[in-house]
Amino acid sequence: MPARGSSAAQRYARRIWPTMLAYVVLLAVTIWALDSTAVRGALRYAIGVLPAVPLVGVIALVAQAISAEPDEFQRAVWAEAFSWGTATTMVATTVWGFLEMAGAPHVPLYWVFPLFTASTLVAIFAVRQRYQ
Amino acid sequence: MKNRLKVLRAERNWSQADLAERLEVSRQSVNAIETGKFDPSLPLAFRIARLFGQTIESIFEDDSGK
Repeated sequence: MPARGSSAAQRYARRIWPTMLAYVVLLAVTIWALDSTAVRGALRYAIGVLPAVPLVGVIALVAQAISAEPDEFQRAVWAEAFSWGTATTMVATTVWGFLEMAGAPHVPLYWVFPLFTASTLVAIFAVRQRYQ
Repeated sequence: MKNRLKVLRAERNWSQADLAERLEVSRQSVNAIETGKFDPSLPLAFRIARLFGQTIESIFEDDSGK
């Protein structure tokens, strides 16, 4: 049966874990490599971008999971949660960006992704509750 | 959207899970449609109507035109 025991979301979730593992490994390698003064110039950028690659992969997997989900209700829940996650991230980062002009401490941009992930997960829970 | 899904299901002694299996959707979908919180797409509405041997209008009540 589609959308019951093994939903598209669950199938894609299994593919997300190896991607996240790749992220952790690449992040460790990048932090270690950029710490070295031997890595200079364009190579620094090439190494610096490495951890972002699996994260972009995760976003692509989530987008594919939503469109491959055969159950239209589950798809609607995902899409709505995705929208809330996007909106929350947009609002938080825009507000913080202006607060930084006023002297608030700088937050590195790589925090945008965890913020988006966390807010989307909270939204999935909240949207499901509403349809109970 | 108000509908008679719960009544039609009860007449046949089907659980939400039974109906979900027949419609090839999740049980959560059936629950959300039954409680009027989620409106099914036209193809799913047709599947529901066919399953119960009725028309869409006799199952779903269009309360927006009143």
